[in-house]
Amino acid sequence: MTAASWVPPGAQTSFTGQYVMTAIGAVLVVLLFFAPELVNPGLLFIIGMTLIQSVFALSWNLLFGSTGLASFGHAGFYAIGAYFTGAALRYGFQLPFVMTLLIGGALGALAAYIIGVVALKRLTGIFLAVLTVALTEAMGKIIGFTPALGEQDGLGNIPRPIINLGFAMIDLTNSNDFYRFLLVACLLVTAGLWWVVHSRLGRTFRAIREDADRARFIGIDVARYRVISFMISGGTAALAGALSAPWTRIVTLDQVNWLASTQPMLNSLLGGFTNFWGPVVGSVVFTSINYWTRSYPGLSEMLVGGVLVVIILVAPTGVLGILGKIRARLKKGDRG
Amino acid sequence: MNAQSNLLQATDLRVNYGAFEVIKGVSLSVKEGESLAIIGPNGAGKTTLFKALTGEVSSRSGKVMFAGKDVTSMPAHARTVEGMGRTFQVSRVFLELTALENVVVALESRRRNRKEPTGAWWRAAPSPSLIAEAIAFLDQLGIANLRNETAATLSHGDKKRLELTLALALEPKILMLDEPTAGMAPADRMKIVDVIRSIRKERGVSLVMTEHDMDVIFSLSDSVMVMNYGEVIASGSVEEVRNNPTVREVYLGKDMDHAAG
Repeated sequence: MTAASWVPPGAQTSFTGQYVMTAIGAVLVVLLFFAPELVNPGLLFIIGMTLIQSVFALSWNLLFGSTGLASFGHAGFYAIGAYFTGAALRYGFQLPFVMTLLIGGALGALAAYIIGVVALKRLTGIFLAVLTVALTEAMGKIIGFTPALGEQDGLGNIPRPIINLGFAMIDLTNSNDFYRFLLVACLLVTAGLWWVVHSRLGRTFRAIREDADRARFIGIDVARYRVISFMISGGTAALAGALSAPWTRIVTLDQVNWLASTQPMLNSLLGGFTNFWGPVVGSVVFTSINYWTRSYPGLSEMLVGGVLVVIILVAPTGVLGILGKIRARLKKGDRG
Repeated sequence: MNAQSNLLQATDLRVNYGAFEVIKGVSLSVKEGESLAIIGPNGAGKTTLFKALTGEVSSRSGKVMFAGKDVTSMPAHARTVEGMGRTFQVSRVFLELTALENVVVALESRRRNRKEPTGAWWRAAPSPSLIAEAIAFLDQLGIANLRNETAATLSHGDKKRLELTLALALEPKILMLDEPTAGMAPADRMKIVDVIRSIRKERGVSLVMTEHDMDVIFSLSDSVMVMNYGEVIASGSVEEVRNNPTVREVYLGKDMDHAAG
């Protein structure tokens, strides 16, 4: 009886299947790394935004898919990170850039902690939904009346940073260089989230999602772990926002409303919330639909809406769910 | 406290659902290693009493002492950490996890709460020693072969077994079983009884249970407490309770061997 008998959740595929997936993933990362040489700047910008949206959606789905809590105001956390980093760069805070990002993330986690403690006993269902929406709306109002944050016009002209390592300077003012930094940062954050979901912390979250009462009776402090998962989720969302500010070079109120909050939910449902990679797939699918229909205004909304309706009706587990089903059916066909 | 002192003691416990008093001043005590069965007609308040003892509902007044500590205002998870292992009337397990994952989650929770080693913090998969322990527990209940099955696909009896495994994995001082054999086939019942018996022998764990099956009660309990309308109407050894006139009156016209239903 060794670790070999451990079948991690969602990994009940054959070993060859795992190798194939790893190989595809590696090729994708290499392609993404050389994207600045392969695509035009316009498309590169969209790819960068997709990376950020993927992390944002992953952060939302950590809460929904793992712990079973739904935040309807996740844009509030994203905005905390985006506005903090935007202001730090614009006004030249004396902070190393990586530290700025980390503080942005920490502020998101702090906001999540405060909401969590206020709602400690009721961190479920409609209460959490209302509180997170309230956070986002309040933030929108506060920013709208703060001249230093650009009020209704947004915070523009955000410069890209130069990272000082002491012995060397990494100049990220060029968009290709910042893109590569963004890619590495998103990969690191994704790896971190993957670890959380698959570690004993993630197993504790899933136990709470499955049956909170049962979890209490194996000695899990449910309220505490809900707050922890909320903090990780809020912190990661803020980190996604923090990474976005120097990429878009402008942060506006469009990122602090309920519509922005629905984006990570949409992406997670589109890709499949039961799979760790679902939110990433969803972000890619969503961006692709938008990109291919960009010359026909309104078509992308109709297509995304249509795809979503189909998915909710036919496959509540999203694109990855459908692919998994097709694969299982093909395998069955092979055997039969 | 000495060896024969009370492990679990409730004094004048009262529980309300709204204005309706469900538990009307119940007192009970269970010594270390002792086994108590709570019986009574449906709606007598057995399950509510259970919930008050384990912390699932809070009591309006009264006191619950466990292992020398006042746990009256302790939440459920803290009482579990103190050494209460509980199962539910309708078995509750983590349905979308495999049987093995179910037990692994319980073991990880126990090790974390007791500050036992849980393996390197950066390691995502559970440590081999933890998996071995989980499989040993599953094996004890005879469901090790089902370890990679999703809990939702298990049969009713196997779910009950898995839930008992979860409770045992916590290495509790007391097992609180709410109808451990409800809805099981007779042969299955006796298997569960044997398992519980051998665990009690092995680990000296105390037991409180509600149960309808008199055979199970005879085999497992030292004493019986009879409840009706939220009150204790009799308690004592199995024989004493059987011959108690009040109990006979409550179950009037019923065959005592199947009376607790």
